[in-house]
Amino acid sequence: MRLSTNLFYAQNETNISEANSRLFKLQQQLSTGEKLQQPSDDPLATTQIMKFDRVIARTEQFSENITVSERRLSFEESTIDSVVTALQRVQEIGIQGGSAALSANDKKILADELDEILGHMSSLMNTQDAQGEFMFAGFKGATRPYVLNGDGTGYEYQGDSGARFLDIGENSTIQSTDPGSSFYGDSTDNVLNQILNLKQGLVDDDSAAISSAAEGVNGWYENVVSKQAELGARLRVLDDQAMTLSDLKTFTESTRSVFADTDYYEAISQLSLETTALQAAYQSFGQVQQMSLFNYVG
Amino acid sequence: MSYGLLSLGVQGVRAAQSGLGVVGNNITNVNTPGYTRQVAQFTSMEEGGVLQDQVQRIADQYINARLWSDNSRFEAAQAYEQLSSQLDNLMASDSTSLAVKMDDYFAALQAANDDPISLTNRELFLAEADALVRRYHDLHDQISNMGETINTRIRELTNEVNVSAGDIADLNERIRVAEAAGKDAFELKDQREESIKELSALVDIQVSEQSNGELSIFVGNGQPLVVGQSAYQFAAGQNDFDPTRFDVTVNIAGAETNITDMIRGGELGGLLTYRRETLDRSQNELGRLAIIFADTMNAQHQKGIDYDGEMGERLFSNVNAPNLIDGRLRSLYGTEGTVNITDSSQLQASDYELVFTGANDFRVKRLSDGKIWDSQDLNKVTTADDVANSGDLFYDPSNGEISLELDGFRLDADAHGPFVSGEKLMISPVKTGADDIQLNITNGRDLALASPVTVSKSASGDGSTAEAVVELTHLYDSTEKDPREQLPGIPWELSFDGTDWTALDADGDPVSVVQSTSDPRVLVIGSRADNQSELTVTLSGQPATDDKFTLNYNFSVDDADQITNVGVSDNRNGLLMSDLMKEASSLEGNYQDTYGRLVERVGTDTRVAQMDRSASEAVLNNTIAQRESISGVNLDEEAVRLIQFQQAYQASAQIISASQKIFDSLIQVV
Repeated sequence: MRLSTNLFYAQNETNISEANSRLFKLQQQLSTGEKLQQPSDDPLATTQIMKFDRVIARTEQFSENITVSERRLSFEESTIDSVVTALQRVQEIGIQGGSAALSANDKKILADELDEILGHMSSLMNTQDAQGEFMFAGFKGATRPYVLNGDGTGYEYQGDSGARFLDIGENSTIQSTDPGSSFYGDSTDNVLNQILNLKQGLVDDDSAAISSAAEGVNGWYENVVSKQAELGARLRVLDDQAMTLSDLKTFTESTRSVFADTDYYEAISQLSLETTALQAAYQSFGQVQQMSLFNYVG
Repeated sequence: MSYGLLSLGVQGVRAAQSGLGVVGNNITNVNTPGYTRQVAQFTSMEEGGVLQDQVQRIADQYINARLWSDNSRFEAAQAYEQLSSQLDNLMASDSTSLAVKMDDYFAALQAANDDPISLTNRELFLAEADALVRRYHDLHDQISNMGETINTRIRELTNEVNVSAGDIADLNERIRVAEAAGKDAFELKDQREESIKELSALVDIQVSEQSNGELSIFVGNGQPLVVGQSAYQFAAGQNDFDPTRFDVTVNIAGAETNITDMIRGGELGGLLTYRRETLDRSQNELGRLAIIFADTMNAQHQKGIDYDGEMGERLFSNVNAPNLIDGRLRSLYGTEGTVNITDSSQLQASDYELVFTGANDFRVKRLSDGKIWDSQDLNKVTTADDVANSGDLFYDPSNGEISLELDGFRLDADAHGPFVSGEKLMISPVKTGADDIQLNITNGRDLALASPVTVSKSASGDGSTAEAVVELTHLYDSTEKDPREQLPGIPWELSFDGTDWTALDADGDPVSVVQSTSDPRVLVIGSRADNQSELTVTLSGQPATDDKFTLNYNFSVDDADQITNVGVSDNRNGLLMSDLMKEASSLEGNYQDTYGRLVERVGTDTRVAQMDRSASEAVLNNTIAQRESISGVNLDEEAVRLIQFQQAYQASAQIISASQKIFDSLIQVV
């Protein structure tokens, strides 16, 4: 084919500029570590990467929810531990108070101790978290749940039976709060009033009332302990789920990497290939452009 | 036969000189764009000697025509690719992408759900919601700005077209005059071809040669641009429906012809195709997503109660605000009306053109894919109020009234008189959605994370393990802020007799209970048919006879009839809002899927544009190489000719010298 001088130069220019832009792209891949600079580089891979990014973001959020739930449930657990300890002492008092050997005065001393325990327990059952939320009020977190009535004769539950759930996985939730009603009883049928009954029995030196109240306290104790076990089980579920999420995140990140990250071996070998090609283009252009018949005539 | 030696020598010297002139001209024009090489033609004469009377211009009109059309195609592909690539970057870059902001929004919602009593978390969520709204606006603005850039470029390009067309018409005239005077006009022809090449970079053209050597140029569907010595004017004019958008018109004999949709090639064609196929579509897709997002979030938020026990307001602005429903309809001849979103999940990312084709007929065209509905295909109903389902039509052509529902929107229009044949309505249900979205709530207390109702088991039958959850699934009046008005007569008591569930309100009157036929554990309580809100109770475990559940407000009412003790620790409505992230809210899937499809489509468009560009570039380069191989100057070739003519000159001079010597010898002899 007849070649015009103009075309010769133009073609060389194009070749060199194309080789340069390929080099630039490789250099970008190497310096950013990202295989794709924009979606058009590979639209399908981009869609996949976006999906992985969403999975990672949500996994991180679920992990955050687990941390929040663990913090709250651990706080709840330690509060309940104190309640259980207090109830154990109440049980002892119930047994001691039922003994016929005890004088009325001794029973009065026990009744005074129960007053102390009542104050301690009601403050535990009305525990507020750092936000000021009453831990055992159900959905009514701004309402003090166990309130002594006006004449001091009984405690009444002001909360409800609502329990808050949090998302800890794509399709799994965990109960992250417990209403006081499920541990300690609702309205006037609650552990505090049973302790009040026990106290009254001791004050009145009424052994029938003491034994019935002590039995009632035992019932509540059993309830709290069984709920405490449930709580522990929930904390273990959280641990397991945290592991699962961490595995899922690692797996997703490594799959994402296959689509999104530069394969350095490939990119570097490509880079040296392209560099060689560009060098060859420069060199051959330099040599060929010196060739002109005008160098030999005249 | 005998020759005059001296005169032969002189002719030879002259011919070689002319040849050298042509070679010199080729060499000096080696870098001149569009230059066509010339070759000196020699003719031997009858009486002996040589005549250099002609110079041939080595051109191939067929190759030139291909060069122009290939150039148009390449310039169009290049313009498309450049713009598309910008949009491509915009959609996916973390600093401009919607995907990342939506992640942040839902993460903040989760944090609010983790601790609904925390006003700080509520405020942080609102801040993220506001950031998401701004991201929608930013993307919308960026797309609008690309539209503006295209407008500016259309104006510049139409001017450039006019300059080139003027040049060509002028050159036609000069070439005609030169040729009439018997001149070659080679340089003028080169210039004309170069001007046509420049024009072909702006717009796709058809060139035809007239018998007098003039070239006429047509655009679009044969609209004349240059005929002989006259050029018609291109102009950038306002679109009929959208004054912010420029169309391309050509002025023929005083009449403006809109050729916007007929231009395919050149930079202008690339810009217009990009605007029509990618930019408009992307703007509609983005707007649709904003509308779906606002609409679904609003609907759920309105079913919750806030920190103070009031029903939630819309979280984002109303998608059917009065100013918006007016703005979605534009008409050619002044028909007025509204376009309401009726089912955001059915919306398509498209504009719709409604054209009245006769006194009693019209058709609607969905511009994204060209789907057409004829008025005959729609389900005719007798009053505007009867239009309730997709495909319903109320049409009163004599009074100029029309109401119809399609693809998740409802059109109500009134021409205040019979519709004029040829009247066009442009319906843009979603176009400005991403610009229109606003945050409607500014105070964290107003965030409705709690549900207005609670359910608790009030009596347990023998061996029952049944538990229940409740959700407000239908609001009878979304403007009513007091939950007691939404759900009057609560507490409701739900009882099981071993086979059926029944409910009684606080006064002991029955409340409708409908058991789902597909899942017997799902009960709908209350009935929208009776103007009541509906609660959905979902049971788990094994119910037993005499099970009772109480449905109550998630707050107390004090002696002064004020709402108090609100369930501020409840996040059930917040969780339902959060679940919307997973729900298939559009034809493509959930919010992120919908956005992902948009990014993928722009990416694919750009990818195709890149391939088009490089393919058309290869074709163009090939054609340029062909033209160059025919018409381009090769310096080596010219060097050979230079030597050839030099030697011919020297030889001819020798003839003169020989003739001189012969003459001298003769004189000496004499």
